[in-house]
Amino acid sequence: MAKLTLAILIIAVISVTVLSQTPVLTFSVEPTTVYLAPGRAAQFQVIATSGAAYTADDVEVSFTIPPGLSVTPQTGTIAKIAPFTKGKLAFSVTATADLPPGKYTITAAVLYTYCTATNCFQLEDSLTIPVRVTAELTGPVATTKSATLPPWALPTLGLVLLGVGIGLWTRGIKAPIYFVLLLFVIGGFVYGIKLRQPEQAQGIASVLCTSCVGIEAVQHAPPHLSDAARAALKQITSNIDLVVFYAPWCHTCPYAEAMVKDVAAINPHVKYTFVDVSVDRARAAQAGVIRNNRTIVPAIMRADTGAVIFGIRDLEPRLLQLLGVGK
Amino acid sequence: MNVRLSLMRRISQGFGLLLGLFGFTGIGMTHIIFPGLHCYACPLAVTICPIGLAQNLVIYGTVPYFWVATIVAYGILAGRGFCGWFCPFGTLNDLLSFRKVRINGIASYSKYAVLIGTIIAAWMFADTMFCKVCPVGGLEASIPYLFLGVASVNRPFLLHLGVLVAVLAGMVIISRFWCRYLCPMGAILSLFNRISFLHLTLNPNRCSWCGDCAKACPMGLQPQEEYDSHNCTKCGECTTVCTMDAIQLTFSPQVERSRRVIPLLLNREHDQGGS
Repeated sequence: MAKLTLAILIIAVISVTVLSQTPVLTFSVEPTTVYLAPGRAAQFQVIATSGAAYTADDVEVSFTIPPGLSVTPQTGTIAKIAPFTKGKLAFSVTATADLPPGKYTITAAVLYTYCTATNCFQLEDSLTIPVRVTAELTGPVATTKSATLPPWALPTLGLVLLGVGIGLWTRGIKAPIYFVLLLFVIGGFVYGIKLRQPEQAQGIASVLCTSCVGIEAVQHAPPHLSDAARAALKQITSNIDLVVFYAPWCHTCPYAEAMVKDVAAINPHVKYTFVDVSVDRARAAQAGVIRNNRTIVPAIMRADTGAVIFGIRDLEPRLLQLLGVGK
Repeated sequence: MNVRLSLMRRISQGFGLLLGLFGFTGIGMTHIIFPGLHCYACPLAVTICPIGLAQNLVIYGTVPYFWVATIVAYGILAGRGFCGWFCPFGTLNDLLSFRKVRINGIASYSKYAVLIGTIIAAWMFADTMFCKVCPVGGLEASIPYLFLGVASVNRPFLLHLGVLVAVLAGMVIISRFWCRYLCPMGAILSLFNRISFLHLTLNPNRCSWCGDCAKACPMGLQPQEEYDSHNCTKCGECTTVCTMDAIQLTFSPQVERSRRVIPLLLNREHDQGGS
C-alpha cells in the first residue's frame, strides 16, 4: 500500500503544473515572416487561439501599414471563437514595384470581447507581422512553414500500438501492454503539457456550469430589491448621480441597468445616466472602466465621488454601499 | 480477519474525501484530474471531474492527451481500486451497502452504455448533458449552492435531486448500485482491472469454496471465480473474511498468465465432489 500511496503522490505532483494564467485569446501570424518581392503579393493568416472556457465575440483585426505596402482586406472580423478553438483570418500583403528591399513591420491591432457569468470585458491586443521585401523573389511566396504532424497522426499511432498490446495480451503475453500504456502516460503528459492542456482542463473546471446546478435562472432573472434595501434607499435625502457604463455586446449589463432603474424609481434623489462605452470611450477611460486596453462592464460610478463598482455579483449590497446606505 | 486492511481503506477513503473538499484551505482549482467521480462545481472542489472534463473535450474537439495520460496512469495503478479506496461517491455507496445482493450479469454492462451515451450526448448537443443528471453534481454542487443561497429550487435543481434520490434508493436496495450499473468513471477504470497493479490474487490450493467471500462482496461478485472481474473494486472485503487466506490483495504487475481457468476447473471438481 505504501507503493500505491507513493505512486498516487507522484501522479499528483506531475499533474499539478502551476503555470501562469493565459489570456482568453492569443494571437499569432502564419508565416512568422512574410517574404515578397517588389510588385508582388503574399498571403498571411492571423490566427486567434482561445485558451479559456469563454466564448470570444466580435474579434476585429485592423492594420497599421508602412508606406509601400498594402493589406487586403484592410480589416477582418470573426464573429465568435468558441472556447479552446481557433479562428483564422486570411490577408494578402502587396508591395509596390518601387519599394526598396528591406525589413518592414505591419502592426495588427486586435479588439475582442468576452463575458463571464457576471462581467463582460473588451480587450485590445496587438501583434507585429515582419515583412521581408527582397528583389530575389520572382513570385508570391507563402512562407516558411514549419513541419507539424497532422492532428490524427499521434492518436492513430496510439490506437495501433494499443491494438498490438491488446492483441498480445489476449494471447497471454501481458508485458507489452504495460509498455504501450506507459508510452501513453509519458507521451500524453509531455505532449498534453506542451499543448497547455492542463491549463485547458483547469479553465474548464474553473467555470461553474450554472445551468447544471440551478443557478442560471437566478442570475438572469430581473433584479428584485429586497425590502430591507428598499427601506434603506428611502433614507437618501440628497441628490446622487449614478453613471452606468454598458456596451451592446455585454450580456450582463441589462441586469445592472434594471437594478439602477429600480433604485431610481424608489428614491427620486437618485438619478442615472447610461453611457455606451463603445461610443464614449473617453468618459469610460476617465472613470477607469477602460484601462490597460481592457474594458470591463457593467460598471456603475457614483458621479460625485468617482467610486465605481463592476459586475453584477452581489450587486444589491454593493450598490447600497456605493450610495452610502449599505452596511 | 484482516482488520488492518479495512482500516487502511477507511483512511484512504478519508484522503479521497479530503482531496475532494480541499477547497476549504482556500486554494483554487488545480490541474489535477480526480481519480473518481467528483463534481468540479462543488464549492470546495480543487480537482477536475474526469467525466465532466471528457465531455468538454468532446465538445471542444480536443485530442485529450493530458486526460488519457492521467486516466491510463490511474488505470495502471489501481483500475477500479479507486472506486473502492478513494472515490467519495464510492464511499457513500459503501456506507449504504446494506444488502449485498448478487444481481450482475448483463446488467453490470449498463455502465458502459452510460459512458458511451455521455460521450455521444456531449457531441450531439454540444453540452455537458450527463452533468445535468449526475447525482454526484446534485449532492456536491446543487444542494450546497442551494444552502449558500446561490441556487434556487428550479427545474435543473429538481432534476438533480430526483436522480440523486433514485440513486440513493438504489444503493440502499442493492449495495454499490451506482458503482455496479451506472458509473461512467467506473466503466473507464474497469477496462484496466485485469492489468492494474492493485489486484486480487487467488490461491486455488487454499480455497475451500466456502462462499464467505461472495457473501462479503459489495459488488455482488463471487471472488473465488471472478477475482479479476471488471466489476471488482478491489475493496478487499473478500480478503478480510477469508479464513484460509486464499484471496489476497496485492500490488504488482499482472504479467503472469491468467489462472482464471484453474478455479473454474477446481470449482467443477468441487461441485462434483460435493454431489
